[in-house]
Amino acid sequence: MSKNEEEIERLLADDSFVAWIEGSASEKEIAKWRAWLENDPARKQILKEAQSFHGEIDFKGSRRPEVDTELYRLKEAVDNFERSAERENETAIFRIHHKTSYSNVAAVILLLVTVLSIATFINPPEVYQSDSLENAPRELITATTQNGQQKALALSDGSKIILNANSSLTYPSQYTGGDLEVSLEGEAYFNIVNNPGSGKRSFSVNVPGGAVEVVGTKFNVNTYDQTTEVVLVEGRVDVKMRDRLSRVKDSYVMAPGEMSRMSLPDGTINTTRVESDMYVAWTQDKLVFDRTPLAEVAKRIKDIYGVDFQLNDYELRETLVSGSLPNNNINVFLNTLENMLERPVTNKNGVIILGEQKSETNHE
Amino acid sequence: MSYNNIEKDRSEGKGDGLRLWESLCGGEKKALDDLFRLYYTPLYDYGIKIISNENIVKDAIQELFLKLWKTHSSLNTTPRSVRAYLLVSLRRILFRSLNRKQKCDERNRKYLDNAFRNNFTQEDLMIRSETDEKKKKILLKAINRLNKRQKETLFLRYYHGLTNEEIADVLCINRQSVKNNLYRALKNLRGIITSVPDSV
Repeated sequence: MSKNEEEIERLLADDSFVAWIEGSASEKEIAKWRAWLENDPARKQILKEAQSFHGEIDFKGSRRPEVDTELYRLKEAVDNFERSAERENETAIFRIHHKTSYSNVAAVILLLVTVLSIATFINPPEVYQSDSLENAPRELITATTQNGQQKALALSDGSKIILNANSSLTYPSQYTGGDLEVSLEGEAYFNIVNNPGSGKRSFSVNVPGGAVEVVGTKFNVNTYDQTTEVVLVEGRVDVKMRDRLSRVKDSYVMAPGEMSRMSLPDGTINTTRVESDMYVAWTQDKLVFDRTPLAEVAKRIKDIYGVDFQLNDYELRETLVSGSLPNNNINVFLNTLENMLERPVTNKNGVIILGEQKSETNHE
Repeated sequence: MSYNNIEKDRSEGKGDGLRLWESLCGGEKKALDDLFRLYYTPLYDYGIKIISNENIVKDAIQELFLKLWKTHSSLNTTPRSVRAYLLVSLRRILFRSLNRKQKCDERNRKYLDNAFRNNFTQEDLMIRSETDEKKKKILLKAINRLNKRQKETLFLRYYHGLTNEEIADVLCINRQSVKNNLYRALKNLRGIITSVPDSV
């Protein structure tokens, strides 16, 4: 009796037996279990009990109602991804153009127009075309963005830079290859191509009190605060803090998935591991939070849209926000936040005010 | 038979899923849509047991399928079971979002305290008749009393129809441990079920 009892669970924990009673066993397995059954008349009863017990545990999966809306969301994300992939391909064609003769110029101009019109859907990019003005004096250009604005800059070697809101990037008007140095205030995402054919060239981003030096890589730099944050997605970068006489005070070689905080007041670099996707989500018009206190969310919104949050209540400041919020429009963002927090959110002359909670719902 | 829907899941796992997977590798966008439709509900139902936050689970599913599309051209191996592949990927994404500072093995060893602690509800179990209902209530209670590992193993086997080998892949543990967990879970449940008289 106790032996039989035990056998039923053993049988049901066996893949081959389960396949047999579910009718998905192979010929060989079927033969094996038939023989097992015929070997002992008592096994008929065991089989019956095993089948009945197996059928007892039955979970149901009723179709989720949001499948279609979620599928729509996925399609949009896929389209976005493909559009940006196309943009990268077109940048690559520029590079080829520089070596070609006049007969190709018409096609290239057409291409340039296409690039602009595709990209204008999202943000008008400034196409930073290299060595087109051989004799122009070497001077610096500054690209700036306002509240809620983003700018995409493409380098002739296929590298690209996306500048977030309220930021500025200074770069030479003319770039003929070799080392490149830019300066950043605010936040930008860099996708720097490491072109082995063109030899080693260095790319560096000057930030207040230091620099980020790059070989070929994807990374995010944020200098909105007294502290510059560098998040490395791919590749390798060196971060360096310098004093006023340009002497290196602290330096660190970053690995992907790390965030280095370069603190201007202390002149030191602190590195932690982060989920880098969260920090570059803004380049896809999203802001992603994961158990982020509302006070930090508010700071992020201030950096991007230049609006202040009124967060007097301590509990409110510590409320954790998780999820992905749309970032192409402050009103859409605030609407989503309103749904998430279940509190009315109003924008009064650039100050965001949160009302009383609507219901007793618990949100982590 | 009472395990009809398991049968359906099994055959889908080996048939439709694999066919769609191969179309996806060939760059067919429609295959991505069909995979999404086919697996959204089971993925959601699994995810919500790991993290009880709808938005995080939905975003994780988005991330999973977007990544699938981004890498479709380099997916040159076909998984044994598409369902198991998707479940393990979702699990990984969710764990990362639960505690992004921990390393993978560290995470697994600790098996995050809050993961899969969510209880099953009446809604989760099939109920066919009223007399069935009483029995289901007792079964449900017994399932919820199992430990997290046993609960998750049982769910992967009886909801998703995975084999021990596939469950081992999803949970990153060896096949023998899966078998032991399943055995212990079934033993606990059976003791309780057999003590309830059969209806009809």
